[in-house]
Amino acid sequence: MNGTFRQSMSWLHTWAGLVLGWVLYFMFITGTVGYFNYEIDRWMQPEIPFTAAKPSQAHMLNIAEKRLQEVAPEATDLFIDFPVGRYPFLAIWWKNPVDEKTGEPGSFQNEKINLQTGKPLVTRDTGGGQLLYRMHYALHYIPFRLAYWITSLCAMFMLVALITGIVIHKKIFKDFFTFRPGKKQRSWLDMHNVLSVLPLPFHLMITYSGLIYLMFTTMPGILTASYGVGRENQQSFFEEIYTQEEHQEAAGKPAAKAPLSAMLIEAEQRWGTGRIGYIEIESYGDINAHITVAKTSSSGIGGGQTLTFNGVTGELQSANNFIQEADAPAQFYGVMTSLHEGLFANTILRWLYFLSGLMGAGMIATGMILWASKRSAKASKAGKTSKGLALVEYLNIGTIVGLPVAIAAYFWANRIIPVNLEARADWEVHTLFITWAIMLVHPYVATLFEGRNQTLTKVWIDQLKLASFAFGFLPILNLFTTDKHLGVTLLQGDWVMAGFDLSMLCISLCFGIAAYKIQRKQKMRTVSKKTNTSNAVSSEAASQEIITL
Amino acid sequence: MDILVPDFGSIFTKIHNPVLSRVIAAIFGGYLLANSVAILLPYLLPGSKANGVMTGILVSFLIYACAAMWVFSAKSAWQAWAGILFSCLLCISLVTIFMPNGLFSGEWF
Repeated sequence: MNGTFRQSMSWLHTWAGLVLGWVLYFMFITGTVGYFNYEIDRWMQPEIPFTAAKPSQAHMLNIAEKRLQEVAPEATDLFIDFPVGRYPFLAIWWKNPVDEKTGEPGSFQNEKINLQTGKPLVTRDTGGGQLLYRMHYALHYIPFRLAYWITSLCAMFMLVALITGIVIHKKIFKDFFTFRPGKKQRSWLDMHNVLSVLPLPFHLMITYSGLIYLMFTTMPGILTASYGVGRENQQSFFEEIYTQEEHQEAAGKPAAKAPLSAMLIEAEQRWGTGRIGYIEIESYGDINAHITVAKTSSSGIGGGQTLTFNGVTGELQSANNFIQEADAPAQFYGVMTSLHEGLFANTILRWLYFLSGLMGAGMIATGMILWASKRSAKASKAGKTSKGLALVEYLNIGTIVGLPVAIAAYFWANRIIPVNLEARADWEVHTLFITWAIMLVHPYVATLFEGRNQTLTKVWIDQLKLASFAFGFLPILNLFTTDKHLGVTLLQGDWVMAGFDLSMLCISLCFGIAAYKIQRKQKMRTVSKKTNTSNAVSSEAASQEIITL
Repeated sequence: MDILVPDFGSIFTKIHNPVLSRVIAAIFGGYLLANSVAILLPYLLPGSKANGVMTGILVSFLIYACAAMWVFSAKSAWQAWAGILFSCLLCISLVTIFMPNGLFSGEWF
């Protein structure tokens, strides 16, 4: 814009970061929470029994096959998911037959199986951690394609904000070790820098890989220009890229069913025992039947190794390694998307992912607070008010603290809403968004009654306290509503359930400390204002320096 | 740039608004340019067509980001538009030359 390159980039950084910042914060928080999607799934379905020692996969296959025989003896397209790595369920899928009236293809139906009884696991209806995780790219209440465009646009703004952020940074290395607490905007700026620079590789990776995750939706023109319009034309592209095997459709000629157990043994010989992620069965009982056995994705980056068997003779047809066999661009794509999902990450790496994600959310939050803080200092000095500034301040509180409160409310709803209520899973999500809406309106309503600046600080404190309470009481709520509370889970060594409860206590503590600190600071400020006003003026002058960036 | 929030109302009332013009150039012009460059890439890169297209899509986001940054660093909004549109035109004409039957031949529609 006007002025030097750095100045124009600084302007772009400020505005690109701000305008969609709240959606980005939402995406970072829900995505980060999603690194523990299965663990949250488990907590939100306390009916699932704790199994200290899992049976062998051969035994589980047996259970799954028996159950499939009971529920869908006619089905030819089946899918068996094993509880391996973090995934907690033995689950079966089967495809219903084609609807004879409408001619529509049958949909897949699924069931989780109780490992001890071999009967279906009856759990409460819930979106679980999976739904929270899904929200970070598919949002909620809107068609997923539209959501892809919105989240991609946000990610694009993020990418621009990140690159411009690097450009405007004069002393990226020095700032890394700089933190000046207790100095208003300067402290916010330092915090913003630390949260941005330390995990910068993560931020760049997660933003870029998020963009390319949805690239076939958001950049359709490039593929179309070279391959033409329509799915059929573009299919040849994907075949070239992924050297996909041509699987023949069912021929309609019945044939013998090769036993799955032999294939499982073959796979175990290659990968070791307990490494099978899923078995996919297509057109079973047909002459063109084939079966895919896949290695668990928790076994490393691009774990996508599969074995394909002939479904009639049971003979091994091919062993594929999805990523290793691809050419460089597709390999790059595969590695980036694997890094984004982090399915391969073990416990320690998973926590690192989680912390990096939180730091990303923190970077966005501090950036938005910094924006408001700079301008409110200027505005109050000039004796002006600004509607835009007020809006940003309200949105900041209602999102930065309000969204976590809403997520806590989602967990509360899971325990409080009656188990047999109609559409209870939907109501859990409604609870989340209703709570968030209240948190967003709260700052505005509060300022209607009292002076603005003091009220806003009070609203920050109130919402932080509420967040601390909402998370802190979850383990207690869990104690009263289930038989899987800390007293039991810790003794059993059920670390998924116990870990969730303990994490909630940790989060509660963090919010509590934040509330306490702001409250103490506010008290100190009111005292110092009464005794010595000149002190406040000098600190105001110091903060002025930073405003003139 | 005013340090306070710009008057958002004026963005929509003024016909000639350089900031809004740049925002549109960055979002829509940048997208167009990212696509144009990425469509051209398979013709310039060695290797198979599929790999070229894949590379094109993968780098398109970086081109998009650079284009947006360029739009905001240009001297004036007019210059930003001119730069973006000229680059697009250049890419598309090159594609038309490279493409055996031209860009708007049967393959497209």
